[in-house]
Amino acid sequence: MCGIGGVLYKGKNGPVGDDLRQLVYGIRHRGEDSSGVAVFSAQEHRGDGEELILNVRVDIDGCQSSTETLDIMRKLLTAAGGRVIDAQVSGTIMSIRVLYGGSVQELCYLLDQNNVQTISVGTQLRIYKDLGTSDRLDEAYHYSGLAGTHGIGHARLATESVVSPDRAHPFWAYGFKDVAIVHNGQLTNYWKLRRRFERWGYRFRTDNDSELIAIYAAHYLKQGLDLQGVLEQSLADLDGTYTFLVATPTEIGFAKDKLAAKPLVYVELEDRVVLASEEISLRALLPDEAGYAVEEPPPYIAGTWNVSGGRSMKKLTYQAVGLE
Amino acid sequence: MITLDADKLTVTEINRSLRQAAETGEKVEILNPRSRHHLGVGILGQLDLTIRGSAGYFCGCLSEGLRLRVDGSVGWFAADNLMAGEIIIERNAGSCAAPGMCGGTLVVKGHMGSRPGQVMKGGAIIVGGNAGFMTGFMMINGAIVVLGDAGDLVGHYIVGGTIYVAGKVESLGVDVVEAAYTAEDDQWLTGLLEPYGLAKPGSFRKFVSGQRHHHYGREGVGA
Repeated sequence: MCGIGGVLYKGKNGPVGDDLRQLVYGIRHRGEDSSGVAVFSAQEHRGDGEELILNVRVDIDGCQSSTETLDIMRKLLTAAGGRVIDAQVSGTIMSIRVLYGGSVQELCYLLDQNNVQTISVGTQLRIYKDLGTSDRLDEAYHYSGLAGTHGIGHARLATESVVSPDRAHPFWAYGFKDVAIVHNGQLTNYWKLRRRFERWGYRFRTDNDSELIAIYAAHYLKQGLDLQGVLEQSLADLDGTYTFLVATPTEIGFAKDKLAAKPLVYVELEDRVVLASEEISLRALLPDEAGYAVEEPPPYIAGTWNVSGGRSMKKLTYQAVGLE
Repeated sequence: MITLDADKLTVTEINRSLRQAAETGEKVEILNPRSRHHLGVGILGQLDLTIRGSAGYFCGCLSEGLRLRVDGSVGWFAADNLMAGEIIIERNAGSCAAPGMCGGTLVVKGHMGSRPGQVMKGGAIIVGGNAGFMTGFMMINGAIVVLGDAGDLVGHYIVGGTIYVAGKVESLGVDVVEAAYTAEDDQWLTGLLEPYGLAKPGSFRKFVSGQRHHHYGREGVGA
């Protein structure tokens, strides 16, 4: 069991960090092992190259200190023609703003060789995750002050890999920019798919099945599919029992497997859409229930909301996969 | 009338007060439920309870004799293992409503999620709107009455009991067959729906077990 949640503001910025804190706190009974949030905030363009935000783990067992990590970053970026703009540490996560025009995948794999544990990379995406519940996470990382267009959050009860900060959700698509997922469930063909993606040259940061969903989504997005298409295709490719959310710079989408043992509800408000595993989590954010309806999607369905206000949803038919 | 404010009480405190009220026979209402889980659980005895708003998971479950009205919606597993009594939900119910229900009546005036009445052994479920995926999955006895549409795989691996659907049926599950809707069925449904102010549609489709996969009875002995 795990709890997932997401919020997307339509055509404007909103207090995404604080919304996620409340949503994930409202769902903490589904898992108190770890929690995390991914917030997407559009950045102003500086003009002299692409500005990336790297969130990396520092100052804990197995990771280097923030000073050492920053030295490595400076060395690698200088060699690649980029530079560090600034860095800020909260808890055991250092947020580094850099200018870098090269391959994100190469940079990530290089950082890994230098024992730098990346948590998220993107122009808009910032992930904060650690052990404990979302209120404790906020005390350490102060993410609730982050504004943005949209974001996703998670409360974890570990089933498929051990409890550790890097196995907390959201998972970022390792080697890609600005793709993050949260997942409630288990994938039964994880190793089969992981080996396929490894043959294609992708690396994985953890042994957690949910990380595969992030890389799966990012790969097919890069191939040119839209998010809705990726999610519909994932219903055939991913075996197991799952409900997951995928966030990109402009969208949040969800997929629910064909038996739908994992819950999801959402509420569509004028200014935003809010998704959560359970209604009790929505109530943590929206305590008064008058004036809106809570929807529970049926099984075997994928849906997407865009920050511009668009929405698509498609339910697949059982005949297509032959349930018997 | 006892009024319990859920904002000021733990679920354990609420359910303890409900069990005491079931003994004294006093009516109870719960304010500010805010979709909290486990409200009205384990009530053995006559209790008249109203929840003013929406409740969460496991609402009214493991009860015998509870008469519950929920003004809003409920989450998953409402009326789980209900033995006797009457639970009325004014709006929607989430997935897996009334699993293993043995008796009593669950009335959902709105829609229901997936797998309502899974392995139910008795009693009746009435859905005013649509019922979700796998309605009556592995049900053993009792009745499910859907006044709207039913989703995919209606009556999947049904063992016994009856499913009535007035609207569209998306698809049928394994080992479920359509039976003739009789005048007795119609008369029984009229009596069942009337107390809840639900208009009975003109006709229903009736589904029962094909008894190919699961059935009760001794091997080799005729029914």
